Amino acid sequence: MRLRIAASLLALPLAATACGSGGSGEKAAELRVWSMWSEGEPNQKVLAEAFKDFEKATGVKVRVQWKGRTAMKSFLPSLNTANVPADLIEGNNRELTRQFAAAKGALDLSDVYAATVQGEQATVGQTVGDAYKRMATSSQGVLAQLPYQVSTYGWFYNGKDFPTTPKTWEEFVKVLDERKAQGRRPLGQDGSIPNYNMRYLEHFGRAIMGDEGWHALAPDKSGQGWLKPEVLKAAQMVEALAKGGYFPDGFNAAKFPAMQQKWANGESDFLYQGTYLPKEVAPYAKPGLEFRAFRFPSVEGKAPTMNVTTTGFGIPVKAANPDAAKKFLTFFLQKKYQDNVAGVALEMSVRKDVPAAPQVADLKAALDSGEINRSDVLDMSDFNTKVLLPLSDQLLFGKIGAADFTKQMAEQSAAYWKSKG
Amino acid sequence: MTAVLERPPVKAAPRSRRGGSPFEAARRRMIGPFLLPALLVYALVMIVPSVITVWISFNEWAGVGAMEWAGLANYREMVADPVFGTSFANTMKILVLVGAAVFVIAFTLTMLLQDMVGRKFVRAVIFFPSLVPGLVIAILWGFLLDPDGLANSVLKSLGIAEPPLWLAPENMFTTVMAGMTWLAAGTYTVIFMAAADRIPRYFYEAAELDGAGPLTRFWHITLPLMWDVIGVCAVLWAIGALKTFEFVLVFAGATGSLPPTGLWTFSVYAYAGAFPSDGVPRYGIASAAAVLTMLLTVVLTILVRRVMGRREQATY
Repeated sequence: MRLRIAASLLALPLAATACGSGGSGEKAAELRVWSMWSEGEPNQKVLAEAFKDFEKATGVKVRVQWKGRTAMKSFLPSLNTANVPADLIEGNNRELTRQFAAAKGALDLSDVYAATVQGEQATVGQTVGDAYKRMATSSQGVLAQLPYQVSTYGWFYNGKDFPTTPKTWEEFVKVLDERKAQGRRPLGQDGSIPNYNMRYLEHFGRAIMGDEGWHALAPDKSGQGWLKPEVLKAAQMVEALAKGGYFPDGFNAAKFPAMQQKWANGESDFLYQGTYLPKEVAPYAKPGLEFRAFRFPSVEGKAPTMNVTTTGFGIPVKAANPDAAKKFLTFFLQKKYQDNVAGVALEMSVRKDVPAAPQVADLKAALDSGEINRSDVLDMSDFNTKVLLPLSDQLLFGKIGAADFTKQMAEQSAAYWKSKG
Repeated sequence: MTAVLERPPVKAAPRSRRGGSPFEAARRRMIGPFLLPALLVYALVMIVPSVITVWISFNEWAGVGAMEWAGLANYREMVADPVFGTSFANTMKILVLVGAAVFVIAFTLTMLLQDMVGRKFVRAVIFFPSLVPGLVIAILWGFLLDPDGLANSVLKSLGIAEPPLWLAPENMFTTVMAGMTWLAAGTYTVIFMAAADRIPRYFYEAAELDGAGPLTRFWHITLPLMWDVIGVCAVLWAIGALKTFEFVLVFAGATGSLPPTGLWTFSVYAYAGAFPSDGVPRYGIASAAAVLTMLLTVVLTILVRRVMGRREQATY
């Protein structure tokens, strides 16, 4: 009697899992999608329309879950099980190459890149271009993502206030000083986000020492690289920004997005932000604000290369319906939908023949010329969080000077790498 | 009449040794089946995951794919990591400083409110912060404590020319601690007041006749008679403080980014390992931090019980 009760109780959870996992393999004409957009976002609308058209054109039933930005985070654990809950998973290039492909969960998309875009002559690979294809490839060589949208950073400003834009950093500083003389605090900056505070140093560094030089710093186990004169130069430029009185009072004591709101309100002139900025601040921007952006000006005659993130889809190795998933990828890359990426979602498409929204047209031109860096290759997120970001915060907030910064970077980098054994 | 009681303990028959009548025996047989469901659930959702966490802490694991045995490497790395030192110091500050502030406030309010008219209403007001989720408070405080926020507007109108920058990096952790104090003080005050309410009035009346002031009455009557409750509260606080997480994360982090390392606690450290803002998850070190938190909780609980138990509980 007692045994029987115990046995039936033990069987309960097993029965429950059996019910939950079965059933997905049978329905071939179904495409399950986990999207990184949330219901109501412009990007969601673009995708939803494409899914509807895809259903009509192919008869495949599309079941989308609008998961929001944590789609990949929630998806990864399912790779440990026999069945995955989606045939298409959306995310940025780093998530798909470093996490999804690194976990051996990603199907190689070489055949998708070789296929032609639905109803067009060019192949997917030609349409996407080599730079983004490289970014979609994991360090193990798996082509894990099909990107459709790119974002980068730019100096945003009100097109009505500045008819011309500075090309060199010196020109830019001159503009800043003029605005300051008029009693303005010209630079918006959300100091509560360490990643945003580090961008100045990074771009100065990339311009002065080149991408190779910049990328060599963080992995340097001795930490001595941070003592190079080029790093000091970059840090001194940040120090000059910090001490120049360009940022609004209390910019480091307000919660994001307070400072970006102030910028949109016309309280400061320039803001270095992602190309998604116009969409983010649109609800509270001052009426008539004409969003325009220019690329980071050149330093000592060299413009820093651009940091780029791509958004796109991957297909799990264990997908129940990979064929429908692949078909959708060639379908969504059609000009019609990519025009919507620019026109409806106000983002930049991977396609060179899709003009960007005027807000970011300058940046798109720079991207199409291909000066894209490889910031996505090295995974230095732990190092950045623990060593670089805290010190770069102090540098930008004027708590430490440039020389102190480089010295502490050298010491703390060495300590960091020592702790890794 | 008292045959059962007078019967000397029988040692011979095994059946009797297991205890009494056939009814008792039947009842005992049923304990197992009745206990089993709860035990199973507990094992499934508590014990098994805890054991797995300990196991993962000895491995390198990205959350998916194969685990790689790492021995004590995660623990070694954690101890050598200066950020872990900061997280440890912050957790201890919350445990000790915020804990002390919460208990002092709760004692003071208990003492003040004990004889107050309308204390039920006051108690409700004091308890209110505990009803609002910490997350909501953390978000609202961001606006309230902005350099141009309500708090500083009020201070400026009171004639303070340069009100503090509450959310500046150097003040942030103090602000976090103040927020946690405010959130927790109400809860403990209400628990203390409930404990104080159980104490019969005549003790106080007698003490008053003997000429005892409010402090003396608190020291000699209230405190000893609610000692057991204080002990439980101290344990609860220790456990809660070691697990401090969401308040810091929401108060200082933004969408998709972690708070600055100067504000990290044990739990934030573990979270940052498992969910880095932009990199490969490291469940090994996250689990190691969790295991350490668990161990510290056990040690602290035992310690607090010891310290609190040393004082004889008064029964009068």
